[in-house]
Amino acid sequence: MIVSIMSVSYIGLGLFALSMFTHFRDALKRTQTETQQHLFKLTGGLVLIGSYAAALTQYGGIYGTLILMGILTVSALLVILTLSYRPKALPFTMLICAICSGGQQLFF
Amino acid sequence: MKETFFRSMSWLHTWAGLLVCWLLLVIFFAGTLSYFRHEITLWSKPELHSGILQSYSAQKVEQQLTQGQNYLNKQAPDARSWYIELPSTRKPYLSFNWQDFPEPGQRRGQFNQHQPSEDGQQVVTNVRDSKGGNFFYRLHFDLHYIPVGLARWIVGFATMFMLIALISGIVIHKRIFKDFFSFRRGKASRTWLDAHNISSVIALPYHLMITYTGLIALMFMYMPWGVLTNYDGDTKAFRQALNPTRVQIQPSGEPANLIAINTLLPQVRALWGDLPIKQVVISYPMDTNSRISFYQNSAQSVSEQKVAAIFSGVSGELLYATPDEHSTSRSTYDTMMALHTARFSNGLLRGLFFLSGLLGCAIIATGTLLWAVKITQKQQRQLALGAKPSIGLRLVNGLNLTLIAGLPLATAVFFYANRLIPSAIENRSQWEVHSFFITLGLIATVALIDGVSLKQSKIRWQQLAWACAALFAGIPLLNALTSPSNLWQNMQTQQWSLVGFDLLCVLSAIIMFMVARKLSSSHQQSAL
Repeated sequence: MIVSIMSVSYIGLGLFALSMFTHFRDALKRTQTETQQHLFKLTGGLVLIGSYAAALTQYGGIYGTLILMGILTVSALLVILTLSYRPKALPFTMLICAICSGGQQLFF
Repeated sequence: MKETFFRSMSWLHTWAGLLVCWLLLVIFFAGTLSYFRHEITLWSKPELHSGILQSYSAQKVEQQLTQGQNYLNKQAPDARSWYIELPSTRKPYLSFNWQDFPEPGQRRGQFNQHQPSEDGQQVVTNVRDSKGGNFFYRLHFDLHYIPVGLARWIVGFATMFMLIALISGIVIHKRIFKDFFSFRRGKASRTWLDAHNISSVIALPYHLMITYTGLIALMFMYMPWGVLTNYDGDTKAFRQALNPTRVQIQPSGEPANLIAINTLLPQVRALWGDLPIKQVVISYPMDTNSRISFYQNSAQSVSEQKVAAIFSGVSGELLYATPDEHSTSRSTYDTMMALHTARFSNGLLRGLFFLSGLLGCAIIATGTLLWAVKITQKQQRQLALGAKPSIGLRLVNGLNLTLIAGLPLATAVFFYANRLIPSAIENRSQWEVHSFFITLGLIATVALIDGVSLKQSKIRWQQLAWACAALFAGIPLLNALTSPSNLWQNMQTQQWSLVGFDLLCVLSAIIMFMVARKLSSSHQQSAL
């Protein structure tokens, strides 16, 4: 479950990063439209709410909140490192995270 | 008005942070390592690594208590207190301990610890004298070589400055969301500023929580007036009201037989169900006033409240049981303390706390490095004309080298000292601690000589990073050579605390190796 929550957090924060002009341009080599910007922000927010719901379901109120705080820190660090060293890889790493998250849901 | 306010906050952030930054780095570093206090202590006692480690088993408790009582009755019938510590996840061994009555002039009697083997056939009595993780735990708030009271005041002031620096930092960070993911590499002070911002912003809730609860932890010391007024200056009465299990009873002086401790288990189970027991303390074991206190292993409960059941040691009558409900203020305080110490956390959450603690160290380190870079930039024109760097710049560079590069190196030396100092040496555990500070002192001396002779350079950082990488890489080997088990065997026996220690040292070595490589390449580039 923890892999799943972390993957979803990474995707959520990745979407937030893509809603920003500079990171979108670095990752996808083109400029974003205003609609895309809002869409990424909204989806990112919803995905993060989803990861919080998963943490609460799995670990309970207090423990789940604390675990999610820690996981968000790790995920944010990973997104920053991706954007700093391999910005073009961000969409792929997000896709891998989606597969990891789905895989853990299916098999565990 | 707005600009003046921003400038004031910026000034406050700079100076509140810088005045205590090196002390804060020590406090944060020691606190971060304290998350693995028991794991470090276990690693520091290799005599326990083979045949002793076991997990908690509810079925074995009765037998273990009987064994403990018989053993302590034989070994220390005249002791002040007996302690039977049952195995837990973080301290996976059974321990029979006792404390003697204090000798004249002593505050506390000598504390003795014996650990029976897993099969109960042997008892380890010659565990080396080592502070292990407790050294870092105490260093976090008691510092070292100075009186405890003074140290706690100094730590309190430093924590207050940290809180001010955090809040003013939030105010002055205008692009907190816009720059959330920005780390611009290879741009001198911009890179250090980004690293400083990232390490603070991505774990901001943690930093605020740990700093604020750090102040709350010692609030009765810093602001005692409420307690003094309500308890007529009797702080002891306040502490006893706060924690009834700490009430000091006095021995009657009349001898009496202690009841069999295991006969109390049905009463304890009636109170707590199947929840695990952490420890049983027997005070004045052979006295009519003896007490038997059971302490619950409250595992994942986010509270520092000790759950206890206290019985008369003669009649077995239940004298006190921790109530389920507490006042709101008490619960708030307990929760804050639990959040600070993270004693409730499992391996995963502990790891996340540890990482956040490292980010706290990173904030301080990047802040001081940024300061050094900025002072250098300011003096660049004079330096290019052949002027000497200012004393301030040399001092900052020296302190940065001593503490940022020195703390990990001193920690590695501490672990080596743990294994290489002979067991028979007097004050052995103190010499382990001395080795930590001697290392820091040596690096400070080198930094001072470099500063005086105007030879401060990246090469020294590089040398220390290489030394650090080599020492940490050698720790699993050192463990294999000086303990009955090695990394592979610990994996096979699923001793994850010991496995984690070795792997964390390998990871530290890899990181220090990368830092050393990076410093080498940047030094070569600047030399070209």
